[in-house]
Amino acid sequence: MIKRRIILLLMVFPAVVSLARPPVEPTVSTGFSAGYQFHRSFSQQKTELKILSGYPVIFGHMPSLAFTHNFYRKNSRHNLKLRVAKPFKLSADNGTGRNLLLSGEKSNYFRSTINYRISWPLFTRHWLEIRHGFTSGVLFESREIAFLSGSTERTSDINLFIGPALSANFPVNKSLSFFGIFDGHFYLPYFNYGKINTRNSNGQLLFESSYYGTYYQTIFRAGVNYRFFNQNDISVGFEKNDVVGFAASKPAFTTKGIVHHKLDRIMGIFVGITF
Amino acid sequence: MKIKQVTYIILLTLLFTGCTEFFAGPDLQDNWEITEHEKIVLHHRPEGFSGTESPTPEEAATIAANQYFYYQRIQDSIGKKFDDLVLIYLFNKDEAEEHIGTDGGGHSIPKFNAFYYTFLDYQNEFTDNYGIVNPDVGAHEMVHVITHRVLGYPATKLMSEGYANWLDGSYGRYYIEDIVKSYRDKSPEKLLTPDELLEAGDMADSVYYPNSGVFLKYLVSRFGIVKINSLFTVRKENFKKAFENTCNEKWEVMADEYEKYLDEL
Repeated sequence: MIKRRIILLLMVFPAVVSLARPPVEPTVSTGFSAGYQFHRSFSQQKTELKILSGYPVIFGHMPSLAFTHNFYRKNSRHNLKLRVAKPFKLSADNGTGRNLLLSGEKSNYFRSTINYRISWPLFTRHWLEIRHGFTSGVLFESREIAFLSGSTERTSDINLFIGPALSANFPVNKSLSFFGIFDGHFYLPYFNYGKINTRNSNGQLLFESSYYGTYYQTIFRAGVNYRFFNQNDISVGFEKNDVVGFAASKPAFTTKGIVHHKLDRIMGIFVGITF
Repeated sequence: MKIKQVTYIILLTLLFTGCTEFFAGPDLQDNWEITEHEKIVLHHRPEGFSGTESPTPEEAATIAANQYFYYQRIQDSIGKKFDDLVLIYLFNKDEAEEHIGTDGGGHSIPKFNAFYYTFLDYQNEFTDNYGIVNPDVGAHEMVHVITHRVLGYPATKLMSEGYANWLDGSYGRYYIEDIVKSYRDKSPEKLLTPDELLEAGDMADSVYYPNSGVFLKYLVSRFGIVKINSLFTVRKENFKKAFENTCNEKWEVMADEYEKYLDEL
């Protein structure tokens, strides 16, 4: 049900990205980007602060696609971005490179985001432009992990987020520039919803619950942008995306009754073009 | 590009990437020896790894075999089948606090069929409820892994810790019944009622754990494991009602009976 709703949302919304543009640029641009990412879900090796993530790890190599739409109003820059990603398959690593957890063929993961970003100039020099603003959007994640015995755990969640946004642009010349983007996403348990169920190897339902997460996510992107034909951009870069938090069966900020956690890191490369 | 520009880029990169690192970060330990026994995969440090002892190959083999014994007996006790591998990560004492937050035990991550534990060189002689002499790693964390995977994620500390302490049968290498008897005779304020156990306020593990284990043992012996299993994931606010519906007895009546049980323990 959640998946259907999200797919509808994705169809309705347009989407995003590309920073690395001088501030007084025209108006509207649209673009696409493709990426290749390495997704890891860690085990919570140390539960007290500072939380440490360790083995075993669930991981997957996943391609991603994004559609972006940017527009400008005076000093404000607006970015909309729709992104989907799905790994070829999931596997696990016990710390020595062995998968002792998952049946990779039967395990699945899917994520999509709709991200809106608004920013204004904070600091501008001829060689540096820093912008600040806000970001908000929706993250949808769905994961089914099938253990070697055939038992499964399925989680699906839809999450609203809001947080600060910061970006920096370093023009080298009229065509070439470097850029860096930082987004922080706060996820509050009252604004997200998930479902978890576990089944044994015969498919019998063992456990089912809803959950409400408290997460914090930081996204860092950096790369180089090249402008051609005076208005089109091609950009290449890398991304680091960390999310940490827990989800309980009732909306709350306490760690009681935890049924799910996210301790994930996505690292990857991307190439994008805007028109 | 000017040096100043490069410096700015580096500084901003460090600032941006560092944010989640303030309270969470990777600690990917990959220097492990592996000892396997049936469904148990014991990861332990190689000999000479740190300033305190690592398990010898013989000790590692014994730990893995003992854990498999618990693995089977826990399933028998709760009447549920579990068939996945359990991954155990055994840290040396002088590194455990840094990596897992304690150097006196461990904790489990049932979602990943795993638990972390400290390899301890125990001094006092002890034979556990399963007849294992001087176990280096008890059954407690194994109970968490198996119960959470086959019964679901517990919504109360009472069920989570109660099962683990009942099925382990000991706390700090003393039998939980002996500890609770000692509380009854010498420190009655440490004897917890079912209401206090369900509420699970802020109290020491040394008080809560033995009490919860004895209480779960009592519940299972009176009402049977099937009924008590069905309460494993019930939330605290619904627990008394669910108990009464499932066990066909008023919570207050059970609490009175439990008090008598403790008197006769």
